[in-house]
Amino acid sequence: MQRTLILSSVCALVLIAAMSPPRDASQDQTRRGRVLVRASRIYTGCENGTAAMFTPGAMLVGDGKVVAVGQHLEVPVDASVVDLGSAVLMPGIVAATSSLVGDSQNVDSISAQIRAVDGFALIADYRSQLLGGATTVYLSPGVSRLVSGQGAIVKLSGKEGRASILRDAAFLEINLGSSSLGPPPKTEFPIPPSADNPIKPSLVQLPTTRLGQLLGIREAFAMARDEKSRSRMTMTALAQAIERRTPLRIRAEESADLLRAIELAQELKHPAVLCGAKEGVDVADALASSGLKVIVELSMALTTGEASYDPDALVLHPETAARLREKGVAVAVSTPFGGALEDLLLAGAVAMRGGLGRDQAIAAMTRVPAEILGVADRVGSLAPGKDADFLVLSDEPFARGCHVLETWVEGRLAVAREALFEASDTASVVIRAGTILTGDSAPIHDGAVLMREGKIASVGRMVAVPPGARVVDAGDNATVTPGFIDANSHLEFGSERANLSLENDLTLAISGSDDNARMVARGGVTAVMLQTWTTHTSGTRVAPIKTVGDKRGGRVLDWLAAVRFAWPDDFDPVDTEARFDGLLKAGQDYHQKWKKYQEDLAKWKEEKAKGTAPAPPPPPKEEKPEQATEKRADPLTGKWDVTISGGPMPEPQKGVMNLKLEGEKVTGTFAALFGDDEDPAAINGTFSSGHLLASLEVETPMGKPQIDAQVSNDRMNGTVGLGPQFRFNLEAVRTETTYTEVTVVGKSKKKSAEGEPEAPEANPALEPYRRVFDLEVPVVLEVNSPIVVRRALSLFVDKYKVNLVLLGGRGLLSLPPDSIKKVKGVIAPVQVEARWGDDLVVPAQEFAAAGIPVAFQSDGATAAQGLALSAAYAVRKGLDPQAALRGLTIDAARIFQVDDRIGSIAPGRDGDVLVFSGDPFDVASRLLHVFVGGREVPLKDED
Amino acid sequence: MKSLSLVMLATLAEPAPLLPPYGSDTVVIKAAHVHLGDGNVESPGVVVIRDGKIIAAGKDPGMPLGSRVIECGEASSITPGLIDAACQLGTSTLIGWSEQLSEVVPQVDLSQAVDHYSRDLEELAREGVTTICLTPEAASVVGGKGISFKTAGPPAGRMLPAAPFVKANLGPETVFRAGSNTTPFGQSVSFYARRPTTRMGSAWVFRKAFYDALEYRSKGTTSQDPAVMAVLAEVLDGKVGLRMQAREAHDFFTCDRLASEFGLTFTLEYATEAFQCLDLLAERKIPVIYGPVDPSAGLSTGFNDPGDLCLTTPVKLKERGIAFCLTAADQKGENGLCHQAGLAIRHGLEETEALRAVTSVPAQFLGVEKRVGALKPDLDADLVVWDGPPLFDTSRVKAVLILGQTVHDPDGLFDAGK
Amino acid sequence: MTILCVAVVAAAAPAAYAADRLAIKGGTLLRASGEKVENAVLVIDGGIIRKVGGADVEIPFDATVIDATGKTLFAGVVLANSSMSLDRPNENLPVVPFVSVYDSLAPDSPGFEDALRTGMTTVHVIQGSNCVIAGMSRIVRPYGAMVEYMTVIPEAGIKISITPKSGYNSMTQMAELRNAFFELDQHVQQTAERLYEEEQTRLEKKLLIPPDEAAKEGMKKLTVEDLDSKWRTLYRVKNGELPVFLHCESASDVLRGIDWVNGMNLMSRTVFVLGTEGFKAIDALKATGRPVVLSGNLVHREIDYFTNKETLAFVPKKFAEAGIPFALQTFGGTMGEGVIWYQAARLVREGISREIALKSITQWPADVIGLSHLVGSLDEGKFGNVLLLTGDPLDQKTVVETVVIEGKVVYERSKDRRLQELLKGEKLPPAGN
Repeated sequence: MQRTLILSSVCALVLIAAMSPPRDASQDQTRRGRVLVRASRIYTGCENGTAAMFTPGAMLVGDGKVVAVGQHLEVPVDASVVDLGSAVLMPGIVAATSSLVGDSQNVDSISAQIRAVDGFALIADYRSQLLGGATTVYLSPGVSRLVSGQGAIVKLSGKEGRASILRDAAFLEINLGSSSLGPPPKTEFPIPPSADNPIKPSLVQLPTTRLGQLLGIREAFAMARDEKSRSRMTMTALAQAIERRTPLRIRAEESADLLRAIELAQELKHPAVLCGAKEGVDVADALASSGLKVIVELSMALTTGEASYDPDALVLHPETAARLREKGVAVAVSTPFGGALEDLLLAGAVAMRGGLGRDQAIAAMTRVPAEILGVADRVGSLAPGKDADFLVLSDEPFARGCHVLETWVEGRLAVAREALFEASDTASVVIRAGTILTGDSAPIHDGAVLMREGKIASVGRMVAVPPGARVVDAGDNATVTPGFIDANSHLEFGSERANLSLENDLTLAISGSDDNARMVARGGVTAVMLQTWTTHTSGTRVAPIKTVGDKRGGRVLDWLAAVRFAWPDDFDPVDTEARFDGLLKAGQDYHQKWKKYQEDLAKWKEEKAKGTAPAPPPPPKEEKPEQATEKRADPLTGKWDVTISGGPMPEPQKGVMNLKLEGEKVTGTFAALFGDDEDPAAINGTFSSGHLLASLEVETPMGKPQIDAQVSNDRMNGTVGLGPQFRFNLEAVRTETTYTEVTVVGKSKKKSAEGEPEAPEANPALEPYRRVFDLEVPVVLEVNSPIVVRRALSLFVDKYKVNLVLLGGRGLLSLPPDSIKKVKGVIAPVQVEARWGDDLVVPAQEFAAAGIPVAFQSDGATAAQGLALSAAYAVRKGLDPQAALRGLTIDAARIFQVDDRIGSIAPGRDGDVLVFSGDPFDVASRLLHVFVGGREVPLKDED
Repeated sequence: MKSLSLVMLATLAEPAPLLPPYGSDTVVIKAAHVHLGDGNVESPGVVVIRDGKIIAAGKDPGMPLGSRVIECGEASSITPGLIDAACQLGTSTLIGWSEQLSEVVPQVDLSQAVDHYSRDLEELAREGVTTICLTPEAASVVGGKGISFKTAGPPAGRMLPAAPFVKANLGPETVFRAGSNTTPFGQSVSFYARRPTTRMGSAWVFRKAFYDALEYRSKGTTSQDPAVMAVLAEVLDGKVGLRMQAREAHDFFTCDRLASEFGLTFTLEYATEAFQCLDLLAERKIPVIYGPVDPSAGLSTGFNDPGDLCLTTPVKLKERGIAFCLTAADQKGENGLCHQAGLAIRHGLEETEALRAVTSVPAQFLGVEKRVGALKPDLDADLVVWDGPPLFDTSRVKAVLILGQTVHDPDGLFDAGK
Repeated sequence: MTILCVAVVAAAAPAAYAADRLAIKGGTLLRASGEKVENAVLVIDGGIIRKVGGADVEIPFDATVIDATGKTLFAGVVLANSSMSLDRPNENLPVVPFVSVYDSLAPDSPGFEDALRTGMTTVHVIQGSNCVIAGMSRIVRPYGAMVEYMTVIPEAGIKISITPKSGYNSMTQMAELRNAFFELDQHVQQTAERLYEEEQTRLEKKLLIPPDEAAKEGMKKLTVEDLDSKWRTLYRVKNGELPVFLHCESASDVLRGIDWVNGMNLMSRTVFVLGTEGFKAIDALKATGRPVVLSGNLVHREIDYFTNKETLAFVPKKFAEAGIPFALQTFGGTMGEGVIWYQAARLVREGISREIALKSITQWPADVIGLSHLVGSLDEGKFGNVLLLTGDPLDQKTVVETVVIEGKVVYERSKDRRLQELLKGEKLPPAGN
């Protein structure tokens, strides 16, 4: 029941589910309890020494906290494992400076009442900062007032996925240096103003100069300590801060300011830290002796201005952090106020440029700031009991191309870069490996492949690592190859022993449940030439489809890859040759007809454009393909009385069918003997071995009614199919054996507007030939014996000049070498090793040696999953590895003329890539990753 | 009824497309009501589409059809995609389309100004507006050439072969719209200031331009920019249509006077005060693109005094047999085309008329009725699925198709089988 | 609450607003719940609905009778938050608890005309949200020549904004807000102190106790009147005597607002006036159990930083799903999205039940302004605020034909000169000819 197969698969389309969404397993796992995270390396941010780093690393996370961290950890029963593969872990960055809440420019020069926490949005999108690496952030209330307010410490995500507040009044901020100079004059309006209560002139506030800064602070502290001034809120706030011993955070950039800051801190006898310290390197000793902790702010901009015309321009010293640390100062590194948290990793890199070691740089951005901010008990390092805040990096911290892939906060995946960029359809993947076999050109050693938007963007020794790229470093031993191609697969047909004639579109057979396809993909086969199990006598289509893709459309490479015939040995070659000749002739005529039409149309269009529309050209005359075979007794031609019954039809309907058989082609008409419809409808179809397959040329929303019947001595029994739902019984008796021409009026021909050439009638059964004769697709001929091969070559190649691909075809080798050159390629037999004559040979090798492009086949539904392995086996038996690779990739692609999409690793090709642990044809090497269309195919089901 | 005689199927029949539609499948969309756009409604009804075209629309044969059947649910209705014949959205910026190199710029072509990716277009598509005509901005007396295109779908297939037209503005816009009548270089008005500063000035510019064009047509040479003159000559020959933007009644008369002076016919754009000179519009057979009613204006507030605004204008136009369609100009979202039609209904226009005024009528005005504006065979499969009576405040747009592609489908109505 | 009721009774007394005895019969009475009373009879006396029922209800002989046959009777629309008719919705100064909308209400404002036209019978006029602390609000009928005559509740509440006033940021906004109450405390302290001192001097006693002791003593005698007029309203707010309409534009503002209100111990008097993003804090809002007023713009738009795709959220749906009652508001006009009926229809469009849609413009806003016992539905004992509609309230073609406020016909479409002109498209001869 081939048709039911097609139809059912059409229905199946309705049920197709989209491909499984990007990996987000870790999330549900965290819900399920404890998680064991594995990575190639874990930096803990702890003191140097044993605990600083583990390679490889494992960390057990439970209830949002780190339970244990080490090199290898037992997997507890209740824990699920998240293997981050080649990724590197470090603690979430504690950003010691940020302008996340902006710069509160309150009028008061002394604005102790301002609280940064008020400006913090608890519900907001912090994904981009989290992807910068920041998990814990200090909120500065601003830099443009002498006392700008009280800073706070927050986390940008948490157990519930929502931001939270760690300390709401952590520091009292004092800003020395130019930023806080010249606050606005202050005016207080009495309400209502009156003679007794006039508007007073506005009063100028300190500091207008650097001198005024210390003065202003002293004044403020003095006032705050005095009871009476408590009638002003800012003073009350200041007083409370002093009582609570809220530490001071003194901002000082230039060396002079730094010195004054130290002075101030000592004078006020109040705990303090310094931040900024752009010129700290000049006063390193003073800082060291002061014992103050310092937050060094670094950025990519190494100066704040052009020194030549801006005398105040600061020069930033990358080495500040390193130098101070040498002197024993506790140094935290962060981006400057106003800088972007997205650049935190760069700040660390700059510190390293200045001489800080990697471990030290990591500590300076995680543990040290946590200590300085007084939240080290919760964050800053990956030690048991601390919050499980960590970054998943694509590379060593601060290295080129190092991006945050994932940020976890309190044991929960807060944001995954891949997911975001997949959401924006720009998911890019970089694969690094020791060897890259491009399939077509020379291998690349220590190279990388960049895939973007499902295509290969670039390949070579070095490739860009765009933000959002997922980096897969497969190691030096690994080998990357193009996805493998199976030149003959029955995937999608499973157990369906369908025998489909040439008019059937195989791509419709792609079914919803792609489990088989997935299985094959996991075997490294990313594309197959889909074919039916058996070849129809009128030929069968071959469709190139991918094994993975979202939705049906995503899997179809083209609607046709080849036309397949079978030329069995046991047949009488002459007869068969005649039959093929007939088929090809019909196809060629059809092709000619369309070619002419399209030329006419083009000409007509261009003349129409010129405005000189010609008289209608004579309609293309129907030259009948002459009978190829000698006239046999014709079981079909003639008049048939038809009865259609069953289905939802109330009463049986009668009609008359008028058929004509030419070779296998059936034409004719059908006239219903009922209703007001007198116009007969045309019938087109095929007839082989007593089996009539025809479609009624009536366009209905369900497609054309399909007749499918067995014919035996003047009786016809079968069904009329109408869409997937309907099936009617068809019975017919032949009344005449001569065909009487009936003009078909029912089909309204396309009106030829002002001499527009008329299109020939489209015939699905012949459509493929148009591409065969345009040499867009080859003919695949299933053949074996030398005689048949010779005849085939002369018929297909010499007479009809089509591209011929032999399936099997060992006979080829017994022909003179030049005739070998005539075939486009050979699909090697399934048996790796075969006995030809007396000697045991590897057929593929034989063809390859003879210089014929070879492709490999599985000839099964899911057998393709073993294709790579059998190739490896063949190599072991003596097949040249190059030939093997080409046969699995580029040659196969060339044979079926889909090499513009698949078969090689080159820019613009589909992102179908395999990563092997070693030499792909080394039986011992494993398949590590499979990418199809730039997306990874999980090698085992996540559950 | 012969539940499945081939006869009935033949009624849905149509000639096979030029090339066999490989892989393409027919989609049958069923709804409680199908508004064909020409005023007829089928309840229940069905629309059959394939390859981006409608192959049938009409009565529901009352049997399961086709390989893919979409059931829109009870109370649902399908209409053709809405068309705005005088839209002012879809350009990157206002600067992007208000060409002011001179008062007479008929040669500029708006197709360069369109931003096919602009959010406005996305939004219009979401609201069911599938085709718009971008009409030239009103800064110049004789503006550029308007263009018609789809609001979504592959940018390649968006342009529509609409009848070309240039647009003239004789209202006050030429004065106030054009940067309060400063020169393009921002200098203040002076004796040399380019633009007309009064209605008289606008009229004069218009008249001069067309006299030059007449001269150019007769002599074949001109002292003016030949590119400009060529276009105006085509207008005079009727090869290129003419639109006049005017809101106030007395401007309509000016438009008519000038047009008849050069034997031109024209379409009136916006025409807020159309109700005041129905006689003129009726007897001179001037088609009207009416709207938008400024929805933010309260009846007692806003700039319009009684006599400037009439809520029943569409009804009046209908009664006088004046060809009219509705536009939302630069309004979208809550005040978009759908709401404009809703207001017309609220103030007495029959639903079918309101629907025609935003589908088939504008399609005719634009000369694209062979492509869009109705549900009948061979037309583009642009349609809107509503969960209630179309254009009603309480009805939601369930899905929007353009050329058979779903461009808006929040409920995943069309996902099945893709 | 008690205070409110007192005020209400005072206001409801016919003295201020002369209402006659009125009966409406023959119409179909529709409740938000969807329940219908065919051929209903409604008897209003002294502005209050005395009887509601079917044809059997007996009509007093001396009542004026309106025949509403073929009409739909529906409760008058209630507007919970509007700056209708205020010449300017906001003050320049950030903290102005001492002003009152009373001084700015314009009875002849076209806004009220539109209000009647669209069937609004109770309007809470309050200052805009561009403030830190705004002035006293007032609940009025959109009908009458004098504010006193329109007034339903003279002192209805005060607007406080958590969302920064223009030129402020959240930090300075909150600082300003705390500062206001800080200064209030200072003032109260000093006043109390002064009272005590004055008393002592009057009694010719010596001042032996320290200032804060004195203040404590003084507090016992302190009344609002003793305070500077500038501080009286805020003092009443602090003591929870007045409803607080708390404007929170963003979701974070909502959380911040909730913290602040709890800190001030004012939650029981708080109404949240939200922006479109408020729904993101819906759990927190639900926990407070306080009513909310949604912004006139019903759709929240957001553009994803990474994908640059625009996502839309229909705000009322979120609240409907969370089971939180809400009041819709309008921003004026009689044709656009501002129209309250359109907003309700919009809810139904997005799949929210008719019941919720109708309640969100009657019952729930009545709750919000604490008048659910007087307005928002057609029940005995409530104000006789009745609309006669030409059909179903949410139908495209339905219009308000007659508006009755507390038993008095205050609007008739046929006599709506302005509207008639706009419908006919011509100026009508001046009235009286």
